[in-house]
Amino acid sequence: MSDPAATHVDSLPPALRETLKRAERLECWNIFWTVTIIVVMGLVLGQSQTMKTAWIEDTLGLVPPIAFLIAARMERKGARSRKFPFGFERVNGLGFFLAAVALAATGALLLWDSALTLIKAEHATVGSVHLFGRDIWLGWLMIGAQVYAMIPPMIIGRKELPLAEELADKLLHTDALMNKANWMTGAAGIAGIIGLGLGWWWADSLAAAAISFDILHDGLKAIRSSTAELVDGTPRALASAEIAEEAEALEAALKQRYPDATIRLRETGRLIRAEVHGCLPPDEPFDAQGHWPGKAERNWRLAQVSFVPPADAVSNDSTEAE
Amino acid sequence: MILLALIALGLGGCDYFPRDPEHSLDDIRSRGILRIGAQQDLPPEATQLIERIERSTGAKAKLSEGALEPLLQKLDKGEIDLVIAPFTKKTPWAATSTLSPPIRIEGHEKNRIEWRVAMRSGENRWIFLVETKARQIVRESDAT
Repeated sequence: MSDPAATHVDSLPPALRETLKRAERLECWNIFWTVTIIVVMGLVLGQSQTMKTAWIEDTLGLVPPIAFLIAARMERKGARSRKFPFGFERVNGLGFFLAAVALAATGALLLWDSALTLIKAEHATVGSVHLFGRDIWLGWLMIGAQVYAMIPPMIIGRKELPLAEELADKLLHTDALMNKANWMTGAAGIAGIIGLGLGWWWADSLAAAAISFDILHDGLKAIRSSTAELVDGTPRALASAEIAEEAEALEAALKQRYPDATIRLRETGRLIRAEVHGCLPPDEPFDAQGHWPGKAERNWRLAQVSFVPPADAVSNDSTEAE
Repeated sequence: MILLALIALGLGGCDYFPRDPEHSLDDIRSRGILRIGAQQDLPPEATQLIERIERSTGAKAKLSEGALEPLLQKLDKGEIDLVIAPFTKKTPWAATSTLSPPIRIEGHEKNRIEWRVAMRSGENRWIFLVETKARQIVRESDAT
């Protein structure tokens, strides 16, 4: 980090930069396939509540990849400046938060909508179209569209997971989980349409309610995790709101080295920053990443160890070593 | 699993799918009467359509006259089976009843009036039958 104008990505190991590029390419494909799904589903939407809900969920699926691509671009291109002295590594966290709020709000809205349809006992009409010289019930086309909509997310979600782990990227991880969960949406949607075809008017709204509940659940989980990062909470695990194992290990290692100090860890994007309070920095040459307790190829995550001496110490307020 | 179920349904269920939640079509067949509501004299396309539906259900049409709104209300309660009426393009009734494709169009652009058949919402098998017959009539009158 000798060059003051460098970007966040410049200070990452080259292998990781490659992974980031791979993830960006994958997300471009993700956007492409999601758009084809939105078009196919939109063509057969009809009056079905299930289809409407599933279609909105598919459209919302664009938010995480777009947020990821914007964040990754800013991480790569955004140089540190006087106005942004810490660079743009936290754009990812901000994008994650926005995606989470959008997800939760839409989920709540759709849940309300389908509950209302159920309560009012509205019977959904699924009509017919004339295609290739035959009259076809639209339900068949809806089922076909739902089956198609299940395939790309399954494949993309599976490919995203390892990349998200390697990059310690929560946004990408959330997207992977959303994609993986999308086949459940597809299955629920198909069940709803089949139920409707069997003459169960409630099947449609019930399936829609199940799908919207899933969207809301995803959103709330993501909000919990993303706010933790934005208020400088201890680094959280990728998949949950619990403290990450890597952070636990790092805290233990720092505690061992500076037994009298208080250790504070926080996360800025994919990086971890440590503050050692009530202790002066050691005199010997300092190797911040040498403090990393885990595997060496992950030590890039520890970007900074700062020392905050006790209030009565007669030195500078704060000393930083990198 | 799902795919297997789909294939099974696809092979065995084409005639069987979709069904009416309130059994409209079954009731029409067993009753032998097709209850139609109309506000004014019906155009020839509508008469043709009624004949076709009579033929494929084996039910005899019984016409009752009345104002549109009460008729649509009866339709929603299942007291009649069809309402044939002229609608405007952006009719608010499309939200409460299911409207067939237009079988006759009168006037142009802003004055355009579409004759459509209203059916009880959600009665998908019955709707399928009426829509199919309505499209046949439109195709035939386009051809001539």
